[in-house]
Amino acid sequence: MRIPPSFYYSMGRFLLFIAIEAICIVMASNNGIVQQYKIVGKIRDIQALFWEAGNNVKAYSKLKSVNTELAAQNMKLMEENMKLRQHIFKMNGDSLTGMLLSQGVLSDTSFSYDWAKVIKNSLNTTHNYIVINKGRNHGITEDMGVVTPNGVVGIIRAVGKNHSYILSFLNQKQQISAKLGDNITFGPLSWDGNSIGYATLNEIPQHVPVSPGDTIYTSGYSSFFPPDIPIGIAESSKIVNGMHRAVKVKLLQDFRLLDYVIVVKNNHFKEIDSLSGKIITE
Amino acid sequence: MNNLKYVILGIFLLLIQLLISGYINIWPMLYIAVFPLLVITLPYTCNHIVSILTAFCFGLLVDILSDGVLGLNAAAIVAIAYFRPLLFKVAVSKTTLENTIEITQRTIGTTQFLLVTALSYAIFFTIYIALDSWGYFSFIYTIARFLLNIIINTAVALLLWKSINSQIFR
Repeated sequence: MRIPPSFYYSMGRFLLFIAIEAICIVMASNNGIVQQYKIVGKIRDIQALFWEAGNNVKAYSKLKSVNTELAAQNMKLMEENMKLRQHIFKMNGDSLTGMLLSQGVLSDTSFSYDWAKVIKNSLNTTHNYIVINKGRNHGITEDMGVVTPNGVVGIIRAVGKNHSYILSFLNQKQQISAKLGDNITFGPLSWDGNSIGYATLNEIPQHVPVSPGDTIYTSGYSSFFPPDIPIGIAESSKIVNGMHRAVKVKLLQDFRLLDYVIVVKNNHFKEIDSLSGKIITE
Repeated sequence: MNNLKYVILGIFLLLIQLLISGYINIWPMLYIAVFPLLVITLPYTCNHIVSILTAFCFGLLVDILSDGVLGLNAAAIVAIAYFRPLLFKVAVSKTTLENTIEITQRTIGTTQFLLVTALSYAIFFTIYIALDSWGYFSFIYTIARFLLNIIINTAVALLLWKSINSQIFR
């Protein structure tokens, strides 16, 4: 039987289609945004100039909201400052230093901080990212955490000379370790993917009571973020699969208002990373 | 000259897509994609392999320049290009297609154009959502997202096409 040439033609088109789809799937599954940032770093540098200019214009339009947020932050800092002053007043300086040293507060050199300005903040996909105006030239490296006084922003995944790319917390692939209130219950916190103001704290044991209004903090069980940074407020909770509790968390940080962020450098990251590597190889 | 029209259309759609991706935040679940219009409206006589390769390059360009995950838009638009001849066979009569080169509302009819556009977006979002968030959301939620995106994007594409079509395909 003779096979008509049109069969080969259709088969060729089909194979071409499958091959292209396979290439695309490999690219997408291989954490496409980071890969893209690395491949087209030069284009990104040029784009960054436009983003910076556009961001300056945007910054004017959101000044009112930013001011309100700054005023709230200021108020919180003043309250904290007053409480600390009262503590200092109650005890003499030496005993305070002694107390702080015994609690490891003054000797904690695990983390150091630097600030950066957000020049690009994507919000309208399920794989959002942020670009900041500091990079390798400013001592920024991959795997540094990024926070604000209102919570976690993301983790740096790619670094250019003068810009860095952050995998935003508003990204399906991002999970951070968070704890519930002041107790030791912790679990993975991830964006709910639906609204930019909410996240879900998973794997909280059923017996742990969750009250609306409980604050969620970073647990400190990751090498990216220091402990006790407030992230959000628990709104409600439900039992999932009859095993764990999933807590709906309202994020304290409004990602639409991100302007300046704090880059967190874990000074012991390499040591922790190499130890983790050793454990995996063993 | 005819190719130049499509190059202009491609640049125009790319710019609109970059503006939408970069500056319009409606809802993370809603993805406004206008760039598939280029592949949907390629001439019916356009070689199938050429249209698949054009779609791949165009999709990759959108991925590189916009907020997309590399390969996501490319995979989705290539699927439109592959199934395009089939969509036209289903939605448009043979006689109309034989007398048509340019795909517009005027040449194939508004209802047919609407149907082809909606089916193209159905293919686009099947691939897009599958690659973007497979298993991340519940089934009901994924279906709702899929339908909402098809409806909104078809409406936006029709409105956009109506306004640019007379300028480019005069």
